[in-house]
Amino acid sequence: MSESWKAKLQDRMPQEWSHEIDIFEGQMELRRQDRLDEKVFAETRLRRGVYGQRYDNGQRHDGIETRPLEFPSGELTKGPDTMWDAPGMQRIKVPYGGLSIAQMEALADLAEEYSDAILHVTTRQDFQLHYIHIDDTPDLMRRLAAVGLTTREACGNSVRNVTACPLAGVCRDQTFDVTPYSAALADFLLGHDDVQDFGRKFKVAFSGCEHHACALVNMHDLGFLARTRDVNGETQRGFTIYVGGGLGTVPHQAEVLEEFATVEEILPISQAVSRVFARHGEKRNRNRARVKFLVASVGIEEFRRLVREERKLLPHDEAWTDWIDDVPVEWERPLKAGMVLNGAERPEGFDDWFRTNVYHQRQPGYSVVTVNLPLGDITTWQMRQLADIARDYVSDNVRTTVEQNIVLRWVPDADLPALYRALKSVGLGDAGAGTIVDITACPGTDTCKLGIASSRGLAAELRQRLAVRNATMPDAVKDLKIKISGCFNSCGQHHVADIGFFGNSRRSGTHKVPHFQVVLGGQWDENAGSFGLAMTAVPAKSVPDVLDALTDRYVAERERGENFQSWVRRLGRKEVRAMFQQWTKLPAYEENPDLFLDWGDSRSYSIGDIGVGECAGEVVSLFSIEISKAESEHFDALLALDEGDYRQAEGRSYQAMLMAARALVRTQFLDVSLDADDIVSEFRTRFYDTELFFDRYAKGKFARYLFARHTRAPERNDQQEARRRIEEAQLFIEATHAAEARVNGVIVNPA
Amino acid sequence: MLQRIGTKLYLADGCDLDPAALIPVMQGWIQRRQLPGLLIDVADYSHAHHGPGIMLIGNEGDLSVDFGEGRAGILYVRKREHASSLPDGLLACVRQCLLAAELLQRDNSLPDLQVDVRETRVILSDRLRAPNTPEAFAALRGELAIFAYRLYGDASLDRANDDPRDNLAVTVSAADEHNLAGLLGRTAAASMA
Ligand code: SF4
Repeated sequence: MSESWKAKLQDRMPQEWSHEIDIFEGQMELRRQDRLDEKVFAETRLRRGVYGQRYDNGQRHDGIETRPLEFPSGELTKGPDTMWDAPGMQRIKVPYGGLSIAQMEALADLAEEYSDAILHVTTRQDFQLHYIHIDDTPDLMRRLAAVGLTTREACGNSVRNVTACPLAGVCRDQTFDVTPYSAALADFLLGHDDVQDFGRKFKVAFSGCEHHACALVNMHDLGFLARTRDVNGETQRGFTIYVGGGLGTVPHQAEVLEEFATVEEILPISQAVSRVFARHGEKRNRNRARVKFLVASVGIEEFRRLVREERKLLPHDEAWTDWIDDVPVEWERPLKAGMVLNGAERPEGFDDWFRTNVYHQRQPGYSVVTVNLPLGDITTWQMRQLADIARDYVSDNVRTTVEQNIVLRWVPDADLPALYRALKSVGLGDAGAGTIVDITACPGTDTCKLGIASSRGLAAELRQRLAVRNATMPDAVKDLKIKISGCFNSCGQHHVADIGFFGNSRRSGTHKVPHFQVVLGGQWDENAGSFGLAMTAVPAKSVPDVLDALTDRYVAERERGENFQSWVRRLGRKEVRAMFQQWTKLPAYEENPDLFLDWGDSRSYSIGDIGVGECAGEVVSLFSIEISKAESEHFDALLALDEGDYRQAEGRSYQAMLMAARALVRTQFLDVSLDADDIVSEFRTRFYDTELFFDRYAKGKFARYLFARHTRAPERNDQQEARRRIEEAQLFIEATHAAEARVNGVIVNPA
Repeated sequence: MLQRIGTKLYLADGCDLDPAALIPVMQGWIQRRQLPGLLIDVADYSHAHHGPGIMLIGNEGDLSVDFGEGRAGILYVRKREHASSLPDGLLACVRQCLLAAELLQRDNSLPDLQVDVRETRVILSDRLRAPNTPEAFAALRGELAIFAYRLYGDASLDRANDDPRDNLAVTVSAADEHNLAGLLGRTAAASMA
């Protein structure tokens, strides 16, 4: 028997990967001996995909009080405020989502031996394993490397997993198969010297067409959209390249960097973009360090000029093009011959499943089957069964999707009934893929350090309720998409859903209440063609009722052919808000204690180990009254945006920030004037310089939105700019709520 | 020393259990520190078919009311350094299951829950040192028999399945009747250390 995985797998790992893992293991040892700074180690660890998890600072609020978690390795840390022994998350890159059977089985082994027997598919086609001990990570990486998977740069300030349409190559609407190009770029950029000095992460996506959503290029730092053109009678392949998109706290639509770049140029242009980003991107303020901020600040023309200049200066690299001649006509080979689905007996439930989970490929006689994973989770046992199913029907033609599912490609149509039976027997035959029950959710408060509310808890609850009603639900509702993030950081992609939610919190008297901001009207199609906007925040426990009210009304009032976005627009924000009004007034704790809990959690709600103290607040504080005025001003800004009055929208969002800042200042200094300079100055002195406004992760980021706007009005007044300012104002108001609760809201916890 | 070792005690047939009801129960255990070891958090995997159900994440090991194999049971998986010998480590695991069983059976919110202690599944999760092969089972059989004897007295050992990809799992069946209190007594000396 081999003594170690390292010895056993030595010949099966790419040498370079093996060497890097050894180096990481050495760095772990240096950190254990305190010979490597914890900050340096933290970034090293992140670049190996080894991420922190909730409670890794060594304390947890258990519903009664905050208690220390006394890990055996004592004070040893794996980063600032991050205890060595604390369970963490391991992210595993899966370029373009492509999986082989061997990889599926290896992932199952690893989840069983190092994690909690659950594999989680992320919104970037990665896998995540939770509750991992850092000591186990080198062997985990070796076992991945042996099957061609890496965790390198899965987190940290570098190029994250390169995503692509899960239908690439088999899609009926594609221009051409983007798989080889996404694979080539992922390979080229992995560990490249020019991607090691970014201020933040960098996300890349490939899409085979413009009108569907599968790859969401509009919300990526760098996006590639397949195009062809005619050159002297020959069809030439290339891409429209987009840059500077992103969700995050403030969403940005990407802009076109190059209308048409040939396939020979995509790697060097990406390298040039990387160099420009590394050189000119923000480094100190990580909140403005994504490439979207650089593009917004210098403008797309200047950014394009910089990239083109850089491209000219790049020393030639054979690796840019040496893969092109090897691009096969078909990236994948089917396991079996295609056959039509004839009169074969259809098992019970098959027709529903067939309607939502089966996509007919461009290749006659074949289909893509979506395996619908609840909350993106699959057990290790299921993964092995799925590997067996793949072995029987499709071989290695398996991919993960950004909707947290897995697809089996090249299924002969005649095999669909048998495949359905096989999936059903292992609990993987749920219908409803891509419909309202197929909810996307980030990890939220379950495991994410930044989570404010339980996105997975809410998703599970909604999925259960919607599944019961699924059979009787009108198609217009079935087709809607719900996406949920646990906080404003948008990992659940709530901006691009018909109905999105992101977690926040409110205070009622002396108690905090988990809430979700309702974001309506985002567009999934057209590669995330437009972003939804926040309507109002409702208590987490009210979300199912809010959803029912919304969908019932949509069904009752929609006009023929009207989609959800158009209906929301026609209804107007005022009306939407009025509809939600009944849920926004918070009762006293004693009247409805359940409302003060989060989904799937019996603990009294807390977002940051807020200390126990005496109650000093009135039932309705002055702050509550004043902040509600700021919210109303913000709402008017949204209305102005709807009406196309961008100047007014921007002005009102600035005014809303001022009003929120004043509301906060007046909790300390009642006599502050209405003058903007006074408000900003008092706010700065009392809440920014003292860091009272700072939250643990965003620090003073949201305050700087106010300072920046106060110093300088925007030069342009277009829709994108107005939207951005409105989003910033929204975040500033949220942060003001949080700061007030921290500073003045003496939160008690119910016994 | 193996990567992970675990034991599972099954719930009695016919228990009608709502997994969601376990969340407040386990969160209460954390508040009151009702199980040995460092208890960290509760994870809800009740949406996963035949999955880990509701899991109490700890530092030394995870305890779950698990639905694997389609049979609900109390599973404890030891994941950090464990006792010096395999029998001692497994006894510590099964004791953790028994303590949890006692708490669950006493809990008023779970009136139907009963644990059948006559069968224990042993799970050895280490494909390097203990793959699911007849040879590995044969090599470990002696140590497993010591564990079985210390837990039950007379007992039989059977390899639970022969899929080489799976964990090495062994079903330990008691030859005689046993009850929870009796097994708690027999395992009293087992420790988490
Ligand atoms: S959206 Fe927030 S809670 Fe969700 S994973 Fe991202 S940072 Fe965490």
